[in-house]
Amino acid sequence: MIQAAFWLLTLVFAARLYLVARHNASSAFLGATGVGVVGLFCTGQIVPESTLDALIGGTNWLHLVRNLLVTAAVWLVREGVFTALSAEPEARQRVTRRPLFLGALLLAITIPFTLQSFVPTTDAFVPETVQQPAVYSYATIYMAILGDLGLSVLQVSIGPRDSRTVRASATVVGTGMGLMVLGCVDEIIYMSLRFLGHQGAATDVTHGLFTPLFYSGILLTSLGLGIPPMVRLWRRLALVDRFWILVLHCKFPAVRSTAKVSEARLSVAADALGPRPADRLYTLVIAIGDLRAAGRQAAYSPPADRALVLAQRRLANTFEPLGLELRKRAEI
Amino acid sequence: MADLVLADGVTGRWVDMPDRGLIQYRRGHAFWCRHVILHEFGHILLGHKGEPADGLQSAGFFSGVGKRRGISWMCRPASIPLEEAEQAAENLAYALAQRLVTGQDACVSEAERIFGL
Repeated sequence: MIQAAFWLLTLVFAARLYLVARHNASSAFLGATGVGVVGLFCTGQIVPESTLDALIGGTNWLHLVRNLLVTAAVWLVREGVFTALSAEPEARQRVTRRPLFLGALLLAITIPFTLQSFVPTTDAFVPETVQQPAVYSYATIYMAILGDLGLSVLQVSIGPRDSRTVRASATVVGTGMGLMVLGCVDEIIYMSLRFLGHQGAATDVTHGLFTPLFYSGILLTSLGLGIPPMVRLWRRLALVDRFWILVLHCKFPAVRSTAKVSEARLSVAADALGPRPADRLYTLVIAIGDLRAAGRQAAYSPPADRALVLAQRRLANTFEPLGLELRKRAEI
Repeated sequence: MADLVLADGVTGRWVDMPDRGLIQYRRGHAFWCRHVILHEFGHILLGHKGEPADGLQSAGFFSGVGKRRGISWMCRPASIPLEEAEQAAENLAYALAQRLVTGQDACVSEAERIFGL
């Protein structure tokens, strides 16, 4: 699951890098995915944790680095979601949204980590050392901060939105954050039980629940951040528009007779494969109407008529909502 | 509008009278009718003056009022090469349609931009 989250987030990061470079999308989400990729890389699923830890000097500093990266990533997701969706006008001035606040959070996690009695590098750092008050404080503060950040994202992201894509993306991100919050609560319970010396079914269950809850949350959050780039790609490909262009060319071959034969062949290919297919579909629909008005096609065959109705319905999907929106704005 | 009101090959027309303007269009599928209306809007937006009513190619509707002073008209032919004014109105109709049908990119909200749409 951690590997899946890593590769998905890497893909989303690449897509978001393109969107920021070309279309001025949010750099907060780009930062979140980029930092998240590095954070997940530090989990030891791609390169063994001991190898990475040795690169920065050993004794579990990688654990701290990874947790700081994940905290920064979640704070950046929160920053992007708040900028896009928060309805409160004063939200932008909140202290919690300033980079200095993030610095304070990272410091709050780092200080207890440095106060521990360091043990040799281990893949099970928290389970093996959580009896130390400093490690318990470090891990609990980290989980509490992450849970609190995740909860605030959940509160803002769930709700009605004008844009279906934004609503879908925000809902999936919010759900992912919700799962992550549950993972944080579960981990705090586990660490508290271990810190107090409990060992048994409760610790086993809470320990076992952490990875599915926390990393499925990360996975869903990555997926949610990937929805807008996917929608954008889908719109750009416009396969449905291209399909209806081909169908109309097949059902209304007479529309090609209005042009020279060589150009007509070109226009079929150009219509189906060229840029702005929605415009081309519209032009084709109008040309078919003109054909009938000019008396060149007295009546459409039922299948052709059906194809024309469906192609128009495809255009109406974009035409009607926009018309309603324009009317709404005009009334305001 | 019944086809017989409009001359053969004419898809729609704008008739500008002293107290009102009318846009008439031939029956057809929904988008095509809208396009014809957009074409006539194009004439209005471009400030075309139109032809005097004496030249109206109408069999019925304007037979009684066609001699009124100040009436002018323009039409959208489907089968003949478009003259300059018609071509301009047609280009504007396509431009308007482009904004209405596929111009959503231009209407991206702040939230959509931040999310990457």
